[in-house]
Amino acid sequence: MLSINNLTKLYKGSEKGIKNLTLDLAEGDICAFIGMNGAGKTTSIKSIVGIYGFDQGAIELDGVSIEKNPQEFKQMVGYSPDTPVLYGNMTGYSYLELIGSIYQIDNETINEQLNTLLKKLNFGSAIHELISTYSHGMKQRLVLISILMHNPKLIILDEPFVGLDPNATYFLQEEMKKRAAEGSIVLYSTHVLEVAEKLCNKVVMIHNGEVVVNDTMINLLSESSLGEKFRSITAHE
Amino acid sequence: MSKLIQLQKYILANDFQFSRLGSSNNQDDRKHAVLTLGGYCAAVVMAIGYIVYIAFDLYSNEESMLFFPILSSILFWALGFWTILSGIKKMIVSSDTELIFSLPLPLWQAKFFNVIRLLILYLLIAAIAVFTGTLLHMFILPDFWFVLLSSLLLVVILPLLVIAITFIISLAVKILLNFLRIHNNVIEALLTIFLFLSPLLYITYTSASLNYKDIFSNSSPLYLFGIISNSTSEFGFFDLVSLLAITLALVLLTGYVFTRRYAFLVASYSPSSKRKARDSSTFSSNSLFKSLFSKELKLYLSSITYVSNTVLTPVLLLIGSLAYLFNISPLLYDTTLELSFITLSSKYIFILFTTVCTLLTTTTSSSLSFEGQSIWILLTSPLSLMELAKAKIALNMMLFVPGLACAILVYTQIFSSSLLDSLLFISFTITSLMLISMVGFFVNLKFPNYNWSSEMEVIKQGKSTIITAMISSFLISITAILILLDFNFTFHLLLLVNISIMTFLIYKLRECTLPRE
Repeated sequence: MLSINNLTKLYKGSEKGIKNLTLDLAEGDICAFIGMNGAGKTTSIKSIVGIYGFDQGAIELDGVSIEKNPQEFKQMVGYSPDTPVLYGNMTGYSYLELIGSIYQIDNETINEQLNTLLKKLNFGSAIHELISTYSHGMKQRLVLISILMHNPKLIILDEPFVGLDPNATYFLQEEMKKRAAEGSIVLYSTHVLEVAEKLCNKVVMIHNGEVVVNDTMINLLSESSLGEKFRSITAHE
Repeated sequence: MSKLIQLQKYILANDFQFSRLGSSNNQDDRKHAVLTLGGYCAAVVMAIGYIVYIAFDLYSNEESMLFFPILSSILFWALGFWTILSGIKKMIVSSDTELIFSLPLPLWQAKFFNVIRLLILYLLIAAIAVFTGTLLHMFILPDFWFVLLSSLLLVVILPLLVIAITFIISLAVKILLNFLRIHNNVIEALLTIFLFLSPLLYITYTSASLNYKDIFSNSSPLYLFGIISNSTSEFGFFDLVSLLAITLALVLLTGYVFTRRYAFLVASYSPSSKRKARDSSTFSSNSLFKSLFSKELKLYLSSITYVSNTVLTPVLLLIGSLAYLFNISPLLYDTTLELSFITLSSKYIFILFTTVCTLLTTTTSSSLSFEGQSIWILLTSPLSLMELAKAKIALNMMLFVPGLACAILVYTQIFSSSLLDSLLFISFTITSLMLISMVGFFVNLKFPNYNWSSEMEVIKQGKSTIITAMISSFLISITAILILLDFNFTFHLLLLVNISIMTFLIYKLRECTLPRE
């Protein structure tokens, strides 16, 4: 269970950020995080995964607080950023070995998970090349492999479909459904509302740093489509 | 051309933080800009102070004629050394290269964009230094107009010469290492620095005294290129014209490579993607320390700028210790320095040399900031700060292993020290190195900067690097004075102090977390 209570993070000297975000997600939930550019999606996500500190509020995963037990919390989380800046001087292979060591995954699990993921994401021999030579999509795929290989309880993806080819996009959508069915929680930000309608059971809309919609997808779609709702909220901008 | 000038003006204003000062609404941004500009002003004032000192020193010894040869020599070596430490790659590609090539500029302007940026900066520095000297000599040297004209020529020649020579040396080293199939940034950095500095080092080594006047007048570009045969004489207008001709020839060669072989240059200065094929079916996770250390090593070796700026003191310690060990230079081994009030034994000089080398290190003070925008990997990983600190500190310790091993051999064998004395020296040297490595990491923890666009921003100009360098200088001064007062007692005392501060830092590190963005 992911529990976020009154999360507030404002940037120094400005009113921009996120104000009083409260959200509960249970095992099996796939939640879409929707909002205009600069609405506060990435700020919220970066606060949840521990990149940003926050001004007030609490974040807990299965009762483990990110503030009190950051290591234990992070052990259960897999995060993919919107722009994956990786160690360009490492090969994809050595990057995955590093992540395996950090998450203390045993060799048997690593080999089992990685060989499947590498095949499904069609990585081939590129895994032995320097990351600096990778395209955006390849970096994105490498990060996906690295976060999925330790079976995280909470998967957080910031605009994950940007830069992915159709095969990788299909794989990711299927993987999100599969992982949720196995008991993981998936939270991802997106601008592709049609996909979110089909994939998610929960939706959170943020506007100017404040949560304006926090509902189940079924409830929301009974009134209007996700696109119509989004346009009605942001109409005055 | 006006577009190029406008763009350069904009980028220079950005580099010098004027744009942040003028347009940012953020208080922190403005404060940072004011501090950076203050730092630049302080550096200019210090440089002018040094120039004034040289002028008065030469004037009081009736050697004012040597002022411009010495000043041009100092500028040449200082700017050249700085260019190599900053990385020659910066002349060819930078973070905005793709943007520059997408702009409606003539191709040659896009190719030379970074060189022109560097040239403008060096012209400014040379102009400030040379015209300060000209003002100081207005009424001393005969024929003011000749001095002014010579100064103007020097201001143009020096930046062009520095850029052309450092570029040619760096490219030659790259081609040679590629031919020998050696792809190692440490070797490349050391070889480039060594080749550039070799005339200066040779002149220093063969010089009768270590007086700056002898060394710099003998190593001025005019003397090195054989334009003047006597280094102690002043140079004439035609000597400068000859130097200008040589400079233009080197600039033409550089220009040819840039215009005709630009793609080759970009490929040469970009990381190679070639890696040995491995069996992709088996992965294995190593111990956490081993993995983190390996990551640190790869990160360190990936940057020739990082290597150049941090490998000098470990290499100096190694070379110096080897010189003692094999008695290469009797000056180092036998001689004691006799000052007016005290005699410094060669053993004391060696301890001081070892202390200076081990304490003057800033590898860890930029190690956290050097992660840059990939810091999210560490921030979102279940890592303790201690685990990360161990890997980063171990890397700096590793750099010193060969030098320290030789230094210990020298201390125990050459100076025939007793067992207790040797143990004290070994413990003191190792703890000093560990201490400054921990201090550097700790300072970087307090002043991290993950959003940099040029490596030099964190490696040489970062707040944590400057603070660590100041702490190092303070520790060196204290050590030098205390050891001078009472050799044995001080070793015990300093060892105790080192261990106490390290224990305190370990305790503090256990409490800290990785600083978030």
